[in-house]
Amino acid sequence: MKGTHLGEFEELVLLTVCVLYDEAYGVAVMESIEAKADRSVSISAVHSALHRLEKKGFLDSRMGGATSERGGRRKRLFTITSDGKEALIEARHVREQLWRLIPDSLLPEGGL
Amino acid sequence: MKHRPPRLADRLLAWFCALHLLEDLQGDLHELFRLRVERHGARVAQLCYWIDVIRSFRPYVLRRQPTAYQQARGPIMLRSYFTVAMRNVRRQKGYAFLNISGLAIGMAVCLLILLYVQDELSYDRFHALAADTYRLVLESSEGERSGTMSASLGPALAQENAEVQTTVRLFKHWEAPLIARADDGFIEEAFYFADSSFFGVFSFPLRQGDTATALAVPFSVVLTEAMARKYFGSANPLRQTLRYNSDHDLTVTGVMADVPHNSHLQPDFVASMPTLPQVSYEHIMEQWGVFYHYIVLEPGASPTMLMRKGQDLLTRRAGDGVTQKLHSQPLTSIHLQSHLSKELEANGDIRYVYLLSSIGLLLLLIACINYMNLATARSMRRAREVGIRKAAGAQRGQIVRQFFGESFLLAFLALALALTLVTLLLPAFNQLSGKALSLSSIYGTLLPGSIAVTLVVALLAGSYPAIFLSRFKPVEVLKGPFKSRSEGHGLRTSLVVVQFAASVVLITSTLVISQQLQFVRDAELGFEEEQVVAVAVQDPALRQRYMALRDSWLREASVLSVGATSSAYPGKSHSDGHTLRRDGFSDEEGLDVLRNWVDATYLGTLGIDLLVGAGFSPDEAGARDEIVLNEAAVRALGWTTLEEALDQPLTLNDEPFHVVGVTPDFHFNSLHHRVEPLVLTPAGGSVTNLLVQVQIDDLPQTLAGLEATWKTFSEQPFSYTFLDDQFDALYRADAQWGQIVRYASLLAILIACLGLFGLAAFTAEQRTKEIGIRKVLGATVPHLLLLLTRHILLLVGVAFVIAVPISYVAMSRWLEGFAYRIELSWSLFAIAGLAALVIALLTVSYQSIRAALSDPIKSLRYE
Repeated sequence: MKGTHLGEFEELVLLTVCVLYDEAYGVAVMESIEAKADRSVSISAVHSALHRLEKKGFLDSRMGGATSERGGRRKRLFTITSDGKEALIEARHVREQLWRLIPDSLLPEGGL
Repeated sequence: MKHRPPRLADRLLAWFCALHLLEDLQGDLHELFRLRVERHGARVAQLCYWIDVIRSFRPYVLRRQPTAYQQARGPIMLRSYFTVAMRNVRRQKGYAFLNISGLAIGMAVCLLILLYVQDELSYDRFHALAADTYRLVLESSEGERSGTMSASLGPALAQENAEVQTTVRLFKHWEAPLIARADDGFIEEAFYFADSSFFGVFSFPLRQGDTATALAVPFSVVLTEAMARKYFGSANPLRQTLRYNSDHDLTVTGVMADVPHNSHLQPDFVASMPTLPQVSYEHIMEQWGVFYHYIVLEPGASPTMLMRKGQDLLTRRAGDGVTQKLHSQPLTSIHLQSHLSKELEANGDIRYVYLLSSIGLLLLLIACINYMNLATARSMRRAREVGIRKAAGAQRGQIVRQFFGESFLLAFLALALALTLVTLLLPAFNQLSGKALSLSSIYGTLLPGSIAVTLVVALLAGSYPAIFLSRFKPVEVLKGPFKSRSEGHGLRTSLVVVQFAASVVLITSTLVISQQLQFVRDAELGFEEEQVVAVAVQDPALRQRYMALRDSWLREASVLSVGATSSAYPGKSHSDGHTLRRDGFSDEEGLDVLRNWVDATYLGTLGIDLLVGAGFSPDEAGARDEIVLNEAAVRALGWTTLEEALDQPLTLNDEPFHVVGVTPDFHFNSLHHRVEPLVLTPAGGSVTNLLVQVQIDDLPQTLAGLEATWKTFSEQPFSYTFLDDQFDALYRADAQWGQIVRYASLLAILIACLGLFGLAAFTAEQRTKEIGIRKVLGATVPHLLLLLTRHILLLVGVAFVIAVPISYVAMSRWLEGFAYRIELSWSLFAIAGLAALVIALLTVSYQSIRAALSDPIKSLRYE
């Protein structure tokens, strides 16, 4: 199914949402990715990814937590769904399988 | 915190972002802004904010649905719109009638004009090689373009240039031949001569016979199915013979399908080209420049290149002194865009196509304006509905859709009526336009055409009401009495002005055209046109011994005079290209004149008295070198008085003549043209037409007498024309045009009045209370009438001011087509303006009088 494919950036966002657990909203996800993955991402890219993931059914969202920095606007808080978890596990599984199939000679000293 | 995100960027975001996404996205952006102000300062934060907003412009973010709220969609709402629209139509039958009938008239006219235009544009496109077929045109040094040239040009061009695939030469005799099977024959106007390649160039299918050989040998002829029936009935015409001008037998070698009406060539007969020298002049192929050439190029070959080579060919053949230019015209453009000095058939005119299209669009626009005006004028009635719909959650888009739905419904109702009108009006329209459109032949155009017209009308007419009505704010319209008087009033007024300006333009045009036509009909032509009958003489034998016939006729009491011509007579085109020279002047100073060959009694029969001189001597033999000029020729030759010209020697085409008389400038051609220099020379032995001046007391009797005498001299049919009919025919196109404009102006006024009537009814209704109060306070009926009709005066006044310059320019251009024309006087415009005013006042007076006479007690109770 087309909708269940996880892109590289989507996977990153999905993982970050898991890491942030109950505090996953646009800015938090963006900051976290910037800090952990050491790459610059724009808020609009994060937003778009979050909405895409929600549409695919990997994320749920609820509104909550208005703060003054936000001009009294509420955050959209994302949580991972069981489908989302499955997709992450599946992605990881595929990777690991592939890693295992790589001939040892290609791998750097010390292997995995 | 004192720093705020850039306001403009914020508003931009709020504008394009879907509502349900806006809150958290904007919140995130604001939060990020705060963080960036702390980290990098306000400047950077603001810049980043802008960048983020612009990068957020992604498809999923964009406002597609204006709302996150649930909307009723699909058939439920459609049904509701439909129900409400139908209720509106039913509840306000009067308005609906005005709307629908106005739209229907506009649409019907538009459809008819569409059919006309489509038919005009379809000319000659049915030929398989139409796209690569061209006709050769020669342009003289005076800029006159002609389609006729010498017979050798086309074949020479084909021989030298490989890109010319086929050529065909056509010839049509200026004197229609007499074609007979047995004793009695018919004069056939559509008798062509053509090369055997005729059927390779033109896609006229042969029902019988072989396209390759049908026109190969002398004395063969192909005729249409209609002609086959006319001459041979049900018998097989193939291999039968037809007699040409009583002296040659032609064998039928083929029968072609009847020619489609949308062909610029309308042959009934096509005879093989080798026949021509046998039945006409022996050296016609070598010496006469009377042939039309059609060439087929290889696909994609450029006619411009070929014409350049053709020009070289002309130069080589004629030497350096060649003054003519060779052009070509695409076959498909001949009908509408070719206006050569000699055309095979009367052509259409692209200007008429444009003019008719504009009239159609104008009428449609006027009808649409009606709809817009009535719909917005009645907006007050609909305001509450809109308010409630909005309060119940309708979005603006839905209201817009609803009102478009209504305009579509009305447009389709109007379409039904329009199609009925088209069916009913088609015969009248055919008569008016000279077309033969039939319902079955037009379905292909009518269906897509009518749907297109309906969509245009629905969108155009529905647009303004939809925008206007959907703008109402629910709070305002539901709170209390809704004031709509001023709103949209300016636009309504200007729309009415447009309608009346268009009407005034059309009325003025009608007046000018009918006055000009009256002028040309009443004009003194300078000769007797009412009493003179022109009789065509076809019989070669009779042409030689017409004198006996003339003398027999002259013995009849009702015949006053008989004259003869061997070429033309007034109303027919005269022979051109003759050069007249005074002795002692060089060739270059020669004067281009028209020429006619006539006998000594010709001028007398036409009632023309010579200004000076005695005219031709009655003795036919002695008159060979006598010449009569008209005044224009005398003046053009440089003589100051007419007497000076008398007895002077002249050279006409290298033949010596001497002047024996000068005629006044009588109009031998239509008043479109200035009277050109004309010379009359003796007819010699053979004549083509006899002019008979008769007493018009008992015409049928007289004509019967002429015919009876004719029968004793010739077996050919007695065919005659009255000179005034002949002249009238020259104005047929103008008269037809006048009629079209007259009908268009009637319709424009009718539609505009429908609209005005509706508006007046609405205004009167709206001001019922005001009128009641005024009456109670002592206003008189005349005073109230003035109050109610005052603005109509103003509207028509403004419309008049707009219309005058437009109609002045348009009509001046039309009148330029006439060398002799009326002056555009202010009274014409005044009459048109007055007519528009009276019509407008009459239209509103019914409603105004009713309102002014109404009982104030009733009107004040009205709520």
